[in-house]
Amino acid sequence: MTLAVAVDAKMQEVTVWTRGVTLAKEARDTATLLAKAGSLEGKYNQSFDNYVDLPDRINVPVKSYARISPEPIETFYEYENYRPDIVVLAEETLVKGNDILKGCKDGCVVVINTKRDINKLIKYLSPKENVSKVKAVAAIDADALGAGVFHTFDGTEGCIDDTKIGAGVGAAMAAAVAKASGIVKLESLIKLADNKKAVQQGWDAVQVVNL
Amino acid sequence: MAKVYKQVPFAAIVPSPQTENEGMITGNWRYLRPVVDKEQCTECKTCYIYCPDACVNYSKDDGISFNLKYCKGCGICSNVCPVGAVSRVPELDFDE
Repeated sequence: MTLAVAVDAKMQEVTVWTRGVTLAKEARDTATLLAKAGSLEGKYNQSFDNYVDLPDRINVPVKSYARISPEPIETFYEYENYRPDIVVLAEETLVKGNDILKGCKDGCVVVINTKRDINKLIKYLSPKENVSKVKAVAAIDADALGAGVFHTFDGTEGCIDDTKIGAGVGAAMAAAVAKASGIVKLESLIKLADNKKAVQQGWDAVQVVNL
Repeated sequence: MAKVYKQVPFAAIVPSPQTENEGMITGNWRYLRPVVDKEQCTECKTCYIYCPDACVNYSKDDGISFNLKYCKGCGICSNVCPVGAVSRVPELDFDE
Protein backbone atom coordinates (compact mmCIF):
# COMPACT_ATOMS: atom_id res chain seq x y z
CA MET A 1 0.00 0.00 0.00
CA THR A 2 2.62 2.48 1.04
CA LEU A 3 6.37 2.80 1.34
CA ALA A 4 7.02 4.39 4.71
CA VAL A 5 10.35 6.12 4.10
CA ALA A 6 10.29 7.85 7.47
CA VAL A 7 8.25 7.09 10.56
CA ASP A 8 7.11 10.14 12.45
CA ALA A 9 5.91 8.66 15.72
CA LYS A 10 4.38 11.83 17.11
CA MET A 11 2.87 13.12 13.87
CA GLN A 12 -0.91 13.50 13.80
CA GLU A 13 -2.58 13.21 10.42
CA VAL A 14 -5.88 14.85 9.50
CA THR A 15 -7.87 13.78 6.43
CA VAL A 16 -10.72 16.04 5.35
CA TRP A 17 -13.18 14.44 2.92
CA THR A 18 -15.34 16.70 0.83
CA ARG A 19 -17.31 17.07 -2.39
CA GLY A 20 -15.44 18.29 -5.43
CA VAL A 21 -15.82 21.94 -6.51
CA THR A 22 -18.84 22.76 -4.33
CA LEU A 23 -17.13 22.22 -0.96
CA ALA A 24 -13.47 21.76 -1.95
CA LYS A 25 -12.52 25.21 -0.74
CA GLU A 26 -14.06 24.55 2.69
CA ALA A 27 -12.11 21.33 3.21
CA ARG A 28 -8.92 23.06 2.13
CA ASP A 29 -9.70 25.81 4.66
CA THR A 30 -10.18 23.29 7.46
CA ALA A 31 -6.88 21.54 6.70
CA THR A 32 -5.03 24.85 6.26
CA LEU A 33 -6.45 26.33 9.46
CA LEU A 34 -5.47 23.30 11.52
CA ALA A 35 -1.95 23.25 10.06
CA LYS A 36 -1.45 26.99 10.54
CA ALA A 37 -2.81 26.82 14.08
CA GLY A 38 -0.29 24.08 14.82
CA SER A 39 2.40 26.35 13.40
CA LEU A 40 1.32 29.18 15.74
CA GLU A 41 1.75 26.78 18.66
CA GLY A 42 5.32 26.05 17.62
CA LYS A 43 4.67 22.71 15.92
CA TYR A 44 5.76 21.51 12.49
CA ASN A 45 3.09 21.06 9.84
CA GLN A 46 2.23 20.14 6.26
CA SER A 47 -1.05 20.76 4.43
CA PHE A 48 -2.03 19.82 0.90
CA ASP A 49 -4.75 18.45 -1.35
CA ASN A 50 -4.94 14.94 -2.72
CA TYR A 51 -3.23 15.07 -6.08
CA VAL A 52 -4.89 11.83 -7.22
CA ASP A 53 -8.35 13.37 -6.92
CA LEU A 54 -7.55 16.36 -9.11
CA PRO A 55 -8.92 17.81 -11.27
CA ASP A 56 -12.01 17.46 -9.19
CA ARG A 57 -15.48 17.28 -10.69
CA ILE A 58 -18.71 18.42 -9.09
CA ASN A 59 -19.74 16.29 -6.07
CA VAL A 60 -16.94 13.75 -6.49
CA PRO A 61 -15.41 12.64 -3.14
CA VAL A 62 -12.05 14.43 -2.75
CA LYS A 63 -9.64 14.81 0.16
CA SER A 64 -7.47 17.47 1.78
CA TYR A 65 -4.74 16.66 4.25
CA ALA A 66 -2.97 18.22 7.23
CA ARG A 67 -0.06 16.87 9.28
CA ILE A 68 0.95 18.30 12.64
CA SER A 69 3.90 17.16 14.70
CA PRO A 70 5.90 18.52 17.66
CA GLU A 71 9.06 17.23 15.94
CA PRO A 72 10.34 18.00 12.43
CA ILE A 73 8.31 15.99 9.90
CA GLU A 74 10.40 13.62 7.84
CA THR A 75 7.51 12.26 5.80
CA PHE A 76 7.97 14.01 2.47
CA TYR A 77 7.21 11.39 -0.11
CA GLU A 78 3.73 10.28 0.92
CA TYR A 79 1.14 12.28 -0.92
CA GLU A 80 -1.83 10.83 0.98
CA ASN A 81 -2.50 10.23 4.66
CA TYR A 82 -2.49 6.46 4.80
CA ARG A 83 -2.82 6.36 8.62
CA PRO A 84 -5.20 9.16 9.66
CA ASP A 85 -5.69 10.14 13.32
CA ILE A 86 -8.60 12.42 12.54
CA VAL A 87 -11.15 12.00 9.74
CA VAL A 88 -13.37 14.99 8.90
CA LEU A 89 -16.36 14.82 6.57
CA ALA A 90 -17.37 18.18 5.15
CA GLU A 91 -20.60 16.67 3.84
CA GLU A 92 -22.68 14.08 5.68
CA THR A 93 -23.44 11.68 2.79
CA LEU A 94 -19.72 10.88 2.43
CA VAL A 95 -20.06 8.56 5.43
CA LYS A 96 -21.95 6.17 3.15
CA GLY A 97 -20.11 4.24 0.46
CA ASN A 98 -16.59 5.57 1.19
CA ASP A 99 -13.94 3.72 3.21
CA ILE A 100 -13.27 6.72 5.41
CA LEU A 101 -11.62 4.67 8.21
CA LYS A 102 -9.16 2.90 5.90
CA GLY A 103 -5.83 2.54 7.70
CA CYS A 104 -6.85 4.67 10.66
CA LYS A 105 -4.83 4.58 13.90
CA ASP A 106 -6.15 3.57 17.32
CA GLY A 107 -8.02 6.43 18.98
CA CYS A 108 -9.23 7.85 15.69
CA VAL A 109 -11.68 10.78 15.86
CA VAL A 110 -14.39 11.25 13.22
CA VAL A 111 -16.00 14.67 12.77
CA ILE A 112 -19.07 14.95 10.52
CA ASN A 113 -20.73 18.12 9.26
CA THR A 114 -24.37 17.15 9.78
CA LYS A 115 -27.58 18.22 11.39
CA ARG A 116 -28.80 14.62 11.62
CA ASP A 117 -28.67 12.47 14.76
CA ILE A 118 -25.03 11.37 15.02
CA ASN A 119 -25.97 7.97 16.51
CA LYS A 120 -27.79 7.07 13.29
CA LEU A 121 -24.71 7.82 11.18
CA ILE A 122 -22.34 5.55 13.15
CA LYS A 123 -23.70 2.41 11.47
CA TYR A 124 -22.51 3.65 8.06
CA LEU A 125 -18.83 3.90 9.10
CA SER A 126 -16.66 1.61 6.96
CA PRO A 127 -14.55 -0.54 6.77
CA LYS A 128 -16.26 -2.30 9.65
CA GLU A 129 -13.10 -3.84 11.15
CA ASN A 130 -11.74 -0.36 11.86
CA VAL A 131 -14.83 0.92 13.70
CA SER A 132 -13.43 -0.48 16.97
CA LYS A 133 -10.44 1.89 16.59
CA VAL A 134 -12.67 4.96 16.64
CA LYS A 135 -12.50 6.82 19.96
CA ALA A 136 -15.14 9.46 19.36
CA VAL A 137 -17.57 10.66 16.71
CA ALA A 138 -18.50 14.34 16.64
CA ALA A 139 -21.30 16.19 14.84
CA ILE A 140 -21.25 19.85 13.90
CA ASP A 141 -23.92 21.68 11.91
CA ALA A 142 -21.35 23.87 10.17
CA ASP A 143 -23.66 24.71 7.25
CA ALA A 144 -25.78 26.74 9.68
CA LEU A 145 -22.76 28.62 11.07
CA GLY A 146 -21.15 29.87 7.87
CA ALA A 147 -22.13 30.34 4.25
CA GLY A 148 -20.31 28.21 1.69
CA VAL A 149 -17.51 29.95 -0.18
CA PHE A 150 -16.72 28.95 -3.75
CA HIS A 151 -13.04 28.84 -4.49
CA THR A 152 -11.66 31.51 -6.75
CA PHE A 153 -11.56 30.99 -10.49
CA ASP A 154 -8.39 32.97 -11.18
CA GLY A 155 -6.44 29.79 -11.87
CA THR A 156 -3.98 30.20 -9.03
CA GLU A 157 -5.19 27.05 -7.24
CA GLY A 158 -5.19 28.80 -3.90
CA CYS A 159 -1.82 30.54 -4.12
CA ILE A 160 -3.51 33.92 -4.02
CA ASP A 161 -6.82 33.41 -2.32
CA ASP A 162 -8.95 36.53 -2.09
CA THR A 163 -11.82 34.64 -0.43
CA LYS A 164 -9.72 34.52 2.78
CA ILE A 165 -9.06 31.43 4.86
CA GLY A 166 -11.85 30.29 7.15
CA ALA A 167 -14.58 32.57 5.85
CA GLY A 168 -17.27 29.91 5.57
CA VAL A 169 -18.15 26.38 6.61
CA GLY A 170 -14.50 25.39 7.06
CA ALA A 171 -13.98 27.65 10.09
CA ALA A 172 -16.68 25.98 12.18
CA MET A 173 -15.44 22.54 11.14
CA ALA A 174 -11.86 23.33 12.20
CA ALA A 175 -13.11 24.44 15.63
CA ALA A 176 -15.16 21.24 15.95
CA VAL A 177 -12.06 19.17 15.13
CA ALA A 178 -10.03 21.12 17.68
CA LYS A 179 -12.56 20.47 20.44
CA ALA A 180 -13.23 16.81 19.61
CA SER A 181 -9.56 15.84 19.31
CA GLY A 182 -7.58 18.57 21.10
CA ILE A 183 -5.11 18.75 18.23
CA VAL A 184 -4.85 22.58 18.33
CA LYS A 185 -6.10 25.33 20.63
CA LEU A 186 -9.18 27.47 20.06
CA GLU A 187 -7.22 30.73 20.49
CA SER A 188 -4.93 29.93 17.56
CA LEU A 189 -7.90 29.18 15.29
CA ILE A 190 -9.64 32.43 16.27
CA LYS A 191 -6.43 34.34 15.46
CA LEU A 192 -6.25 32.82 11.97
CA ALA A 193 -9.81 32.41 10.68
CA ASP A 194 -11.63 35.18 8.88
CA ASN A 195 -15.02 34.30 10.40
CA LYS A 196 -14.08 34.34 14.11
CA LYS A 197 -17.69 34.07 15.25
CA ALA A 198 -18.18 30.79 13.36
CA VAL A 199 -15.05 29.37 15.03
CA GLN A 200 -16.37 30.20 18.50
CA GLN A 201 -19.86 28.86 17.63
CA GLY A 202 -18.40 25.69 16.14
CA TRP A 203 -16.42 25.13 19.34
CA ASP A 204 -19.60 25.59 21.43
CA ALA A 205 -22.03 23.66 19.21
CA VAL A 206 -20.11 20.44 18.51
CA GLN A 207 -21.63 17.26 19.94
CA VAL A 208 -19.12 14.53 20.80
CA VAL A 209 -20.19 10.91 21.23
CA ASN A 210 -17.55 8.65 22.82
CA LEU A 211 -17.72 5.08 21.53
CA MET B 1 5.21 -11.74 -41.40
CA ALA B 2 1.83 -10.21 -42.01
CA LYS B 3 0.18 -12.95 -40.01
CA VAL B 4 2.42 -12.32 -36.98
CA TYR B 5 1.76 -8.61 -37.26
CA LYS B 6 -1.98 -9.21 -37.06
CA GLN B 7 -1.59 -11.25 -33.90
CA VAL B 8 -0.07 -8.28 -32.05
CA PRO B 9 -2.79 -6.40 -30.17
CA PHE B 10 -3.33 -2.85 -31.35
CA ALA B 11 -1.84 -0.32 -28.95
CA ALA B 12 -3.89 1.59 -26.40
CA ILE B 13 -6.90 -0.68 -26.68
CA VAL B 14 -8.54 -1.76 -23.44
CA PRO B 15 -11.37 -4.28 -23.24
CA SER B 16 -14.68 -2.49 -23.48
CA PRO B 17 -16.92 -2.99 -20.47
CA GLN B 18 -19.95 -4.61 -22.09
CA THR B 19 -22.20 -4.21 -19.07
CA GLU B 20 -20.37 -2.79 -16.06
CA ASN B 21 -16.99 -1.20 -15.37
CA GLU B 22 -15.90 -2.35 -11.91
CA GLY B 23 -12.95 0.02 -12.04
CA MET B 24 -15.12 3.13 -12.06
CA ILE B 25 -17.99 2.77 -9.61
CA THR B 26 -19.61 6.18 -9.28
CA GLY B 27 -22.46 5.40 -6.86
CA ASN B 28 -20.74 7.21 -3.98
CA TRP B 29 -20.79 10.50 -5.88
CA ARG B 30 -24.53 10.70 -5.28
CA TYR B 31 -26.09 12.52 -2.34
CA LEU B 32 -29.62 12.78 -3.72
CA ARG B 33 -31.12 9.48 -4.86
CA PRO B 34 -33.69 9.36 -7.70
CA VAL B 35 -36.92 7.69 -6.60
CA VAL B 36 -39.68 6.96 -9.13
CA ASP B 37 -43.33 7.14 -8.15
CA LYS B 38 -44.82 4.12 -9.97
CA GLU B 39 -48.37 5.54 -9.85
CA GLN B 40 -47.45 8.80 -11.59
CA CYS B 41 -44.99 7.22 -14.03
CA THR B 42 -46.41 6.89 -17.58
CA GLU B 43 -43.42 4.79 -18.74
CA CYS B 44 -42.63 7.29 -21.51
CA LYS B 45 -38.92 6.41 -21.00
CA THR B 46 -37.73 10.00 -21.38
CA CYS B 47 -35.38 9.46 -18.40
CA TYR B 48 -34.08 6.28 -20.06
CA ILE B 49 -33.07 8.31 -23.11
CA TYR B 50 -31.58 11.25 -21.21
CA CYS B 51 -29.56 9.42 -18.52
CA PRO B 52 -25.89 10.15 -19.38
CA ASP B 53 -24.65 6.96 -17.70
CA ALA B 54 -27.36 4.56 -18.87
CA CYS B 55 -28.38 3.95 -15.27
CA VAL B 56 -32.12 3.78 -16.00
CA ASN B 57 -33.48 0.29 -16.57
CA TYR B 58 -36.90 -0.59 -17.92
CA SER B 59 -38.82 -3.81 -17.76
CA LYS B 60 -42.47 -4.43 -18.67
CA ASP B 61 -43.22 -5.95 -15.29
CA ASP B 62 -41.47 -3.50 -12.95
CA GLY B 63 -41.36 -0.34 -15.06
CA ILE B 64 -38.56 2.17 -14.50
CA SER B 65 -35.76 1.37 -12.03
CA PHE B 66 -32.33 2.88 -11.40
CA ASN B 67 -28.90 1.25 -11.28
CA LEU B 68 -27.75 2.81 -8.00
CA LYS B 69 -24.26 1.30 -8.24
CA TYR B 70 -23.39 3.80 -10.96
CA CYS B 71 -26.01 6.56 -10.65
CA LYS B 72 -24.16 9.82 -9.84
CA GLY B 73 -27.29 11.61 -8.71
CA CYS B 74 -27.02 14.29 -11.39
CA GLY B 75 -30.80 14.77 -11.38
CA ILE B 76 -31.34 14.91 -15.14
CA CYS B 77 -34.03 12.18 -14.92
CA SER B 78 -35.91 14.27 -12.39
CA ASN B 79 -35.59 17.39 -14.55
CA VAL B 80 -36.75 15.86 -17.83
CA CYS B 81 -39.66 13.83 -16.42
CA PRO B 82 -42.79 15.32 -18.06
CA VAL B 83 -45.10 14.26 -15.21
CA GLY B 84 -42.73 14.86 -12.29
CA ALA B 85 -42.67 11.23 -11.19
CA VAL B 86 -38.95 11.18 -10.32
CA SER B 87 -38.10 12.84 -7.03
CA ARG B 88 -34.68 13.26 -5.38
CA VAL B 89 -34.39 12.01 -1.80
CA PRO B 90 -31.33 12.51 0.46
CA GLU B 91 -29.16 9.41 0.39
CA LEU B 92 -28.97 9.08 4.18
CA ASP B 93 -32.74 8.60 4.40
CA PHE B 94 -32.11 5.08 3.08
CA ASP B 95 -30.45 2.32 5.07
CA GLU B 96 -28.71 0.57 2.22
